[in-house]
Amino acid sequence: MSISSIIIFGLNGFIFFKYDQIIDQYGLFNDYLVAINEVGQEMESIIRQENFDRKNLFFFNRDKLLSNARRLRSSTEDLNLGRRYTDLYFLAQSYTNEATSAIRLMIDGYPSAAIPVYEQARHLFYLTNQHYYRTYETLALNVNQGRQQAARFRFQLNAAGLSIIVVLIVISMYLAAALSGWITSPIKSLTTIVSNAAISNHEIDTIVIEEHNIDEYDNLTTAYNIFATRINEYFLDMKRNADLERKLHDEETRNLKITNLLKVSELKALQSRINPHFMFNSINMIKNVAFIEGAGQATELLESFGSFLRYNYDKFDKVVTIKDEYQNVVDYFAIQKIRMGDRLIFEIDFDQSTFAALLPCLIIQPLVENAIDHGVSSYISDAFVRVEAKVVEKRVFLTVEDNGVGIEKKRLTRLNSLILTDNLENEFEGSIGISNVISRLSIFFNGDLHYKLEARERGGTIIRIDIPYKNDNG
Amino acid sequence: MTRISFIPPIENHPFWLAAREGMAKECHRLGFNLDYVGPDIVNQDRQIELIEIAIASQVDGIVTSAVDPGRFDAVIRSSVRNGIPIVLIGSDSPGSLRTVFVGIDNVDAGRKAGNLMIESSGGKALIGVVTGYSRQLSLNQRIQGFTEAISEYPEMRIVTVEESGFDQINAGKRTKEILLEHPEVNAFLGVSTNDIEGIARIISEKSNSSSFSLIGFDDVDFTIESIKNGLVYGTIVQTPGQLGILSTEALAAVFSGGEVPESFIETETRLITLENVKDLY
Repeated sequence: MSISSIIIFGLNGFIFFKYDQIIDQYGLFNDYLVAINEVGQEMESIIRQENFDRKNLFFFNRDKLLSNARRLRSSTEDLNLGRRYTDLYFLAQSYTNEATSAIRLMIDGYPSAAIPVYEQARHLFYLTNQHYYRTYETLALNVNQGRQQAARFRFQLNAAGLSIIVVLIVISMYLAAALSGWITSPIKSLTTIVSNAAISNHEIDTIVIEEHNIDEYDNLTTAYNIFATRINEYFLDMKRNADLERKLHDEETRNLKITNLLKVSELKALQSRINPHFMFNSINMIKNVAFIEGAGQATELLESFGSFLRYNYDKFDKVVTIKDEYQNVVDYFAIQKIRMGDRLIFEIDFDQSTFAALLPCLIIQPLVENAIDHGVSSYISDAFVRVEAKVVEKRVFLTVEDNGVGIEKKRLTRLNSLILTDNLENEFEGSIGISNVISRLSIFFNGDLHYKLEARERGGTIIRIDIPYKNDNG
Repeated sequence: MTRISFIPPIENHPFWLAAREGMAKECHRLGFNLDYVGPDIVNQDRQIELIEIAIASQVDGIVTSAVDPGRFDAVIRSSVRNGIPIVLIGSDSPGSLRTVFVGIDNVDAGRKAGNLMIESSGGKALIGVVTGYSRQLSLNQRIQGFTEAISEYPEMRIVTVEESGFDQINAGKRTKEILLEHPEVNAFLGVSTNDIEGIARIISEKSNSSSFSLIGFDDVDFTIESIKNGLVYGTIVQTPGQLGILSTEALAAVFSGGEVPESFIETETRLITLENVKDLY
């Protein structure tokens, strides 16, 4: 671009240079005519009026003419015009030579010799004028051509200048478009990212800041990234809180369930025990009377019975150890022994290592009660119930075994499959025994228990439960 | 700058323009600067004045053509005295101090024209002659040669010789006058370049144009067209371009210090009739 401007500038200079040259030529050309006429006048004045004191003026004018002719001769590069100027130079020379000769002859006092030379000089003056006007035609033609050329040249220059302007406009428009694209395209993409983020359910992506970007855009992106990071943090907080709330809700539900189940147990217990305090006091009083009266067995029986009832009452909603349960079972057995006498053989086999294990209260006794009531109560003799507790690999294994009537195989399968559902209670026909026990264990151990009802080989039923070994230490 | 001035008898004339073309080519080749300037109409005073200007301009060489041989002798002398070689082309002034003449053998060319006339007319012709200028040597030499050629034929003679001043309109006027004054004339000879054109234009208007025998010189377009359509029987053609070239070469020889070996450098002529007119260009 700048090169073309320089070229245009240079060409313009060239045009002006040419014009200057033409003007100079015109000046020189005009001066030639003036000078030769002056020379002619001086010559006439000297020869005709014998005005010899004008001789110096003649020589001055002559030299002026010759110097002008010389300058004119070298004022052009044009061949035709150069030729004419050269001719004019030599014509001036020929003329002034002749005129000088005539004047010298005149001054030297040879007027008769001077006259023919003077006439010849006049003829040369005439010839020079002839050639001058012919040269004028050539010059005029040349100048005219030069002017036309310059006009064409100027037109081309203007056209070139105009095209450069047009090209510049086009280029600047393109640059402006490209620049605005460069500025707006990151904003557009930012807008897209932000609108996507607005409807997003997930974490919002941050934007990677590209290098060589615009500062304003970088600031905007940074701000957006901070904004996105905060939103993501809030989002995670909300998610955590929701999890926590759900856990709390689950906990509450569980607690409610436990409470409900216990309430059912309590209700059942209340139905069979009208007033526990009254009963305890009564039993205690009867035991004392029996002791005073020397009825040892009755005393023992009442002792067990009282203990059993108190356990039921006191530990009802408490976590107990297997040792507590063991004592309770022993008390219950003592009572049943009185009731059933020798008909019932009761074996209780608790490993010492199980005693510290924690579990909800009234777990084992209901199982035993169930075995007696549903298994062996109808036996006249040889009723057998066995309770076992042992620890194997951090788990407590409870087994209650009886040689009772047993359960049909089909029903057994069904019971096993339904064992942890709410229907279980119905299947055991109103007994608060097994289903209640299993449910409470399941809640207490968070479902971490195994339960199985099996048919005993020699008749009867075995209930196997294993639960995690849990004590006060964890 | 070696300056050559070529001053033809008439500036804007096809013959001299063709000569100028050949000279310009040669000058360009040799690095000479050529100035071509001549009178607007044939005007020997003006032509001589232009030669004087060239002499006063101290040019290096002059080429011109002597229309009227005697009138150019003074200016030719002046030129040579001023140390400026001067070459005459086309028309010579043998008695002058001119450096060299370059041109055709005009007597021979006239003879050829006479032979064409004999062919055309079958040896019976009363001839009107229109020439450019009655005192131009070259033209008179042609007439001389022509007269020689027909002299053997008793039924052929020149009835009259008229002067056109190298102008085809004048040539036409002279033709009309001849036909009025000499109604027996049935043949014409145009001696200088434009004469046959003027003659042919007048004859073409006549109903019996085909009964005329027309012979001319040189090859202006109208002459060539007239040969093609049978109006003009034939023409003697010079080679003006060659005149230009040879005259420039002669000057170059003088400039380089050598003498020009001959005082007459002959250029060729050609006969153009219907038979060979197609080969002309």
